[in-house]
Amino acid sequence: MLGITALRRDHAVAPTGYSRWLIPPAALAVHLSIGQVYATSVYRTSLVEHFDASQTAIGVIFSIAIVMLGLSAAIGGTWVENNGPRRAMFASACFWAGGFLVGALGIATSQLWLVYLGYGFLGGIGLGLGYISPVSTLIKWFPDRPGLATGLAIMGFGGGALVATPLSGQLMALYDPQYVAGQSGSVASGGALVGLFATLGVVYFVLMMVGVAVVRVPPAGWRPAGFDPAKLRAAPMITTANVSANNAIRTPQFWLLWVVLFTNVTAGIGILEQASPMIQDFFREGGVSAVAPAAAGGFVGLLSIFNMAGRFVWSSTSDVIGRKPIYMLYLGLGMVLYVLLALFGHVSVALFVLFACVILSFYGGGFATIPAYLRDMFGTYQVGAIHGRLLTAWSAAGIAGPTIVNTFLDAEGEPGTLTYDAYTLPLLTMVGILAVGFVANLLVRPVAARFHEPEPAASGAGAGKEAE
Amino acid sequence: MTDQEPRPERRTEPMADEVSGDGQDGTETTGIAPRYRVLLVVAWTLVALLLGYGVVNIVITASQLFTG
Repeated sequence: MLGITALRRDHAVAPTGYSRWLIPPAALAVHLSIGQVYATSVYRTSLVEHFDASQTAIGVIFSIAIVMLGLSAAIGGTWVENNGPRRAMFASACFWAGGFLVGALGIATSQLWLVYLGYGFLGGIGLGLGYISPVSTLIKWFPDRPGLATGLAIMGFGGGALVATPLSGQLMALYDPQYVAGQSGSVASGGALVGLFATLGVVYFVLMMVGVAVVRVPPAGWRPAGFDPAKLRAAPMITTANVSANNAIRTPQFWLLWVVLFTNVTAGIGILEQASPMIQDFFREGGVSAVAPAAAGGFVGLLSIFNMAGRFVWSSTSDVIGRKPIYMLYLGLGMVLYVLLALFGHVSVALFVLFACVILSFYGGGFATIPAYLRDMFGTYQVGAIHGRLLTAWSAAGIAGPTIVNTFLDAEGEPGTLTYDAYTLPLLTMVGILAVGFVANLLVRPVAARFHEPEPAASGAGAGKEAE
Repeated sequence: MTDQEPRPERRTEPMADEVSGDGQDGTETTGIAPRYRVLLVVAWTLVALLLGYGVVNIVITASQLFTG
């Protein structure tokens, strides 16, 4: 009972002597855990063998998780906003860890539907709640540097796969001595998969609970020393007013930003999904690729590093140059890089890797900067809930990006026989998609005053709800 | 009592008491209580170790890209 009380927002107000620099590691504890969702390829083949199922049937687990991420972030955003980061992180930890444990039960009993229910459905809810849970709190603690703060946290989502990929391989090798991590054709036993899922469930629950214990909300009226809100008022694209989540979705700005995120993610996911076969296809001559499968795996890892680093570097940069200009960079320079990749990517491996890595850094930057852009447009009042609703763009892009690329590639020939010219059309299509996002970003203007929370009502309502 | 997020107000001027006098200065370490200072070091070290573990492993794998 005491534990449940401690989760309440009014019990999570920062005490004297607390440092706001504890919030990013608390947020990272959650994001590094849920970022594991990008490391599912490590045990995908083992799951295929264990269930004697198709790649598609196993891929559905990941798809359910990503769809549930978008839905739970959109539906649960207001709940997260109202209940504070502690309760939201705790709920996320329960769903995420519970998902692993139910998934482990599904593997142990060879019931694939239990893995769908566990890792896919329950885990997906944990993903959505966990992803948005620290965002609003970070923005309130860092009104002077929201891009840096959210970049640090969302960097963890990219970094989660970096940690989970080698960890999963090593755990499977521990539980199944016959399994060799990273060796092509090596498959872990069902028992090793059960051990892996159970261990990850427990480890991630503990790590996320560290975040729950550390996170705090700032006292009412708190602001960092040296921070002058008047400077915010001087910036035309940063509001000091507040817009509720229900009103935000009625504004053109919300939908323009939805398009911006959708196009940026669609283009990036198109490369991310195809990264390993793509680099092999680009350097295939006479039916043989100059890039070995193991090296292609290294390329995927390199993309993960740039995806993670871009989240921090570009989002922090947006605090200096502004949110609209940074998205012009992501989308505008992104278009140029996609053209260069399509036309000159096959010239050398180094050039190909360079273009792809910068593109992926923009992909990550787009994710990490969007909460700060929302804060600039809609204020801090319900920015977490608004962010949750905007993440439906991610779910939509997760379907659109791979579908576009795969449709083109399927028409070009069989996997393993393609060459670089098969990618020209899909990559140039991505340029067109980015152009749509670029125009949408250009059209973003400050939100009309009629959508703002009315001042007298806000004051009155606030007085009635001052519980802290 | 409710734990609902208080509605915000639009401010016309900074509140005089907004910068807390208890040393909650986010940009400096002078006002941080000793136990939170220790927690800061532990938390960031843990983060650095986790990310370092991941990056080192990936870089080892990625090096095959250029070494064949």
